[in-house]
Amino acid sequence: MSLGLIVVLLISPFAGFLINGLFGKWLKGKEKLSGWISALAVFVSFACSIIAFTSVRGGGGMSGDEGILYEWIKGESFAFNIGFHVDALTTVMLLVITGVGFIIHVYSIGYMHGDSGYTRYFAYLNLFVFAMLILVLGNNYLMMFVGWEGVGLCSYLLIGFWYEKQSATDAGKKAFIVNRIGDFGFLLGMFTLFAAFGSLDFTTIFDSADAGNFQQIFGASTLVIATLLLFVGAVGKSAQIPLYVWLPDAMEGPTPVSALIHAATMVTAGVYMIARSAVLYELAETGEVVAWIGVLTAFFAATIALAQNDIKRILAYSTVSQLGYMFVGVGVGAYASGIFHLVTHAFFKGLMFLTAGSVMHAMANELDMRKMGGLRAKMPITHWTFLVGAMAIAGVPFLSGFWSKDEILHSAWAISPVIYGIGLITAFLTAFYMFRLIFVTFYGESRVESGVASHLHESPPVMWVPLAILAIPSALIGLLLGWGGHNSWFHHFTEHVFPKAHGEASGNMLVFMGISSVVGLAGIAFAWIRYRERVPAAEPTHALHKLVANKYYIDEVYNAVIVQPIKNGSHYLLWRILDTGIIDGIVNGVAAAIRLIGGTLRRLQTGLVQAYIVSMVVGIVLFLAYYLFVR
Amino acid sequence: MGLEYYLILSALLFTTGVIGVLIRRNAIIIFMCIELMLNAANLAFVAISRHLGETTGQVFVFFVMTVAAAEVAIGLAIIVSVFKHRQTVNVDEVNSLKG
Amino acid sequence: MPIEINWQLLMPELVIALTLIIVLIFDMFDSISKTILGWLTIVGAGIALWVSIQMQQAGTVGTQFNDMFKVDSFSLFFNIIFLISTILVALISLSYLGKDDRKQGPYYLLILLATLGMMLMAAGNELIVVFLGLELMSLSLYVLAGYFRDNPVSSEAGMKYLLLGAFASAFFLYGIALIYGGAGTTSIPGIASNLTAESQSPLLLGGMFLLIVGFGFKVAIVPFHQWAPDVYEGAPTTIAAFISAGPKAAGFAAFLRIFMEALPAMQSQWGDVIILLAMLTMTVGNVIAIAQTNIKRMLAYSSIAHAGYVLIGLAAANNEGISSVMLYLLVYCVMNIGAFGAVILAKTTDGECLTISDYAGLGFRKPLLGLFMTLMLLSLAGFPPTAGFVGKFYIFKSAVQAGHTWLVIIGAINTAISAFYYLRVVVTMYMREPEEELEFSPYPSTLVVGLILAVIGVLFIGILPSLLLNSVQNSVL
Repeated sequence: MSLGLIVVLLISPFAGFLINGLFGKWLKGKEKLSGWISALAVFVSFACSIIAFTSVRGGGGMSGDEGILYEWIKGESFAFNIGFHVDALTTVMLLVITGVGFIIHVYSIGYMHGDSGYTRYFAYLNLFVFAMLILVLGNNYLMMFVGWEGVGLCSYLLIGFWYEKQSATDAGKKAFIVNRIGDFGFLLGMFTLFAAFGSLDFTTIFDSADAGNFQQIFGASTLVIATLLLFVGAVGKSAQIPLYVWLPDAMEGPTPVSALIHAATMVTAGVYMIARSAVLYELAETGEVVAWIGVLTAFFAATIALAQNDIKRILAYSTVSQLGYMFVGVGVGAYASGIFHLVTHAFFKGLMFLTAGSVMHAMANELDMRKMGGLRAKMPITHWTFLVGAMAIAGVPFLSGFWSKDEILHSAWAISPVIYGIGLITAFLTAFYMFRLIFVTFYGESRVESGVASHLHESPPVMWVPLAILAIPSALIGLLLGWGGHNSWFHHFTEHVFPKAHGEASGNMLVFMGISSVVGLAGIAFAWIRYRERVPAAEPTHALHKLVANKYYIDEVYNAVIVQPIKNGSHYLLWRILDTGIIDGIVNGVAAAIRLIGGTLRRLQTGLVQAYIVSMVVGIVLFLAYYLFVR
Repeated sequence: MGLEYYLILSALLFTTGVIGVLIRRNAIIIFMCIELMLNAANLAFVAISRHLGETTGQVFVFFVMTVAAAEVAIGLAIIVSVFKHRQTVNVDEVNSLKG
Repeated sequence: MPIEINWQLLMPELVIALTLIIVLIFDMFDSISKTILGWLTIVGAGIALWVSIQMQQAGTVGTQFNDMFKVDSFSLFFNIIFLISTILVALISLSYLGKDDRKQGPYYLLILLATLGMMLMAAGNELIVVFLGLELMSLSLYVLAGYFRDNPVSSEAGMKYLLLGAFASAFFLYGIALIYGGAGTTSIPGIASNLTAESQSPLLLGGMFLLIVGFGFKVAIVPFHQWAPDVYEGAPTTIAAFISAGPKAAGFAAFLRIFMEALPAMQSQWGDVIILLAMLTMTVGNVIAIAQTNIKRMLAYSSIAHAGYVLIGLAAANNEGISSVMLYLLVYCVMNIGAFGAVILAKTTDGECLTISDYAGLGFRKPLLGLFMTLMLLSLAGFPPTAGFVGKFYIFKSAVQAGHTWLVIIGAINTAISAFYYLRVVVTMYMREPEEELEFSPYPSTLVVGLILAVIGVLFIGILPSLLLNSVQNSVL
């Protein structure tokens, strides 16, 4: 594998971004062209990814010095390089990003048809792919951070894509602010690593950490602090408790964006980061924290999904929940299983978002499933593909989600039966809410408003073909790559990347598979009993239902406990400083003080020429005095 | 006579110019005071040139005079355009840009 | 004695002089559309730029006119900075001046004259040549600042700039006279060879000091900076961009050449003054910038602060310092013109958007404008991976090498302060709702092209600094 290949892989989407961004004006009339250029750019990356993948399978790869493209900036005792790290983990991520990314680009060509911001949309989407590729290809934490911020930027831009809608810009801002908290953690973690290791290169850090050869800046807990800070970043980006609140709102963006960014790729960056830093997490033994946060998020988000009626919101909470599973996987040391779930989830959740988009497309952007019902007759392909995705996530035996989720639960058992138990309950809830969605939307009587019902139709081929293509891996990829559990092809492929998992299979695998299957099927059956012919009530009926339907009032609590106090507090504080002139050392005070000084100094700028001349002359006299008397 | 006397005279001229710039309010007079400062420099050039026994300093005075002439032409034009807007050349009244 | 002129050595200057004659001739014909003058300027400056780059790569060195004019990698590198600035400013001016023919001719002529003056300053090997270049540049700029005669604010800016500038020039000239008296010559190599540590007369000391005053005014160093905000605000925005870029670089070019080549023996005298001025300039510039509400004034104070950062490199007074100053000035010119260009882009049907609160909500409503503005401001604030970061990094690094750790700490604190007001604009664009719906004019394509070039420059230097860095390190004095 040559550096050139990786450069082409990386630059291609950027070129697509430039073409769409710079020549958008001329592409306005030819929107198909714009979309296909953008899709082609990602396809080139996909092709390169396949080459890289085969090369890694054959024992190739790139790490350390051989991956360095050039030296970016150099100080006395350190240097930052632009370089790539390509191993099994990287290629898996590359294939997911470019593969799923390409299909979603194609789908978008149909979905965004007629939108006034067509070229802008594709420019952002290409830029996103570029940033995501930097994130996974970089051979140091700095490049990872650049990509991390880049995907965040594209995410806000795309959430707020329909900026005429107040809710869309609000959601963009919310994502921005919540992510800042996480990014700050990531940044501090990076600084800690730099202070401890004097470098940010993966190879240098991992080798020195293994050898115990680093500056103990926080004593014995240096690595613990570093990994936990990095995890704060992951919590923000991957929407875990307590920073998950931005992701459901992010559904304000176009649906393909939800599929690509907020389900398949960007939100999994946190999982990737932990898997990449596996060495550090093993040494610091902070995995258990990760696993606990993950499993609690999985459970919590699944309960919220139970009572939602907006199909995209259900999918969003489901994403939060599934991301929780992935964190359980990487947290308990089953890195390969966590990444495996990332892969299968990318396919089936991407698929489900796209089908949701297809439904919206037909239903004139209606999202409330109480106003649907019986859609299966009019939209057979959408129905079948959604069913495949739902079965995959519900853990129906032999479909992809079954394999990956089972591996994670199996590994969790070895660490903590409690985590296993909560995970299992979540699996039941997952199957239940997904099939609740299916039954209410696609089965039963049609409740579609007559105006919409008349032109209810299956989506055009440019949209349904991607659905069909995604349905195949959603169904089969688990069987192909995951057969054999911890002994599967996927585990062998990635075994050199991760430290030996300590949560190694204990107990009979078949027993676990059996339990998981029963639980998943039970959830489906329960949903069938309850929602085969019933519609969810318009208003929540009892207190618990109301609590869940309102997402435990977390947004309201955050607003009351954090947002409002900060707003009021800073107002009060600034007012007090201005009023009483008390300036203390707190950050707010310093900022206000500097402002005050600036405001005072600017009064020296009187606008009078001679005042300026006086200050020049005074300056000259003072400096002369300095020469004559001080020196 | 020694060089010092010329330099002292030139320094006095220069200071006179600076003080004029500082205390006068009429833009044109301020401008004339600046010309005075340039001429103080010219005097210094000529005196030093004579003292060193070479001509470069005297040649430079011609350059400076040319520059000063150009400066006057441009300066008066700008002051006229300010006068057109405000009907005054008092620099204290031209202070809409500040802060 | 017959004078032999090596025309090849003077190529960039000749091209610019020729261009300005052509512009002058074209301006006489009323039948020709005057927008062509702008394009002529761009083409002429483009050719001069290409020639300068070729000469710089070839390592051309030589002197002309009795050693008064010196061409070396240093002066050629600065030519590149000036010409890039001129081209960018001409690009953003094309649409700014509108269709009014009367406005076009002298405008480009004066820009070219100022450019020629800057080139003379960088190549001046004789104090009087530097003075002539400085005056050629300044006189053109006075007129340009007051170019919109119908606008009282523009005239006021012109008058203020003229009075203060002429006052500072007089100090500069007097400084030259004193140095002439002290060293017996005004030739830069001559001064250097006549000057030893013990032969220092008070005349030299006074002359050196007055030169600092003169340069301090041109590059807007505190306490000689007060003209800058008023002139930037009052002058046409394109001219504010121009004044903030090329002339500042030219001032520093001559500053560097005179102090590093002619007066290195007096470094113990000027070294700590420069350090003091650097601290003062950075701090005052940034602190007052925070209190600004007009974006042009904010950029003016920011440009004062940037002069302070450059002084850090100058204070280091080593090769690292010179090369970092040169790199920084190039970066600064590109990003500052870009920032002013973004201000011009934010044009409503009623005129320019100059109050920072007018930018509320623009990030989403005008994505391209938001992107340009954000990138330029991030670069000015020195965030990676933009050029501004690379520039600051090397400036600070050179100061650390020279042992000025304290200066670097103050510089870093100032960078943090500056991030506050730059990011405030970005936050306003993306996080605030507009109070009133503003009607925006469509983007002029030449302006967008100019901005795209600036963006490419900022990102290219930010991501791939090593290419440029080698060239800069070969161009130190």
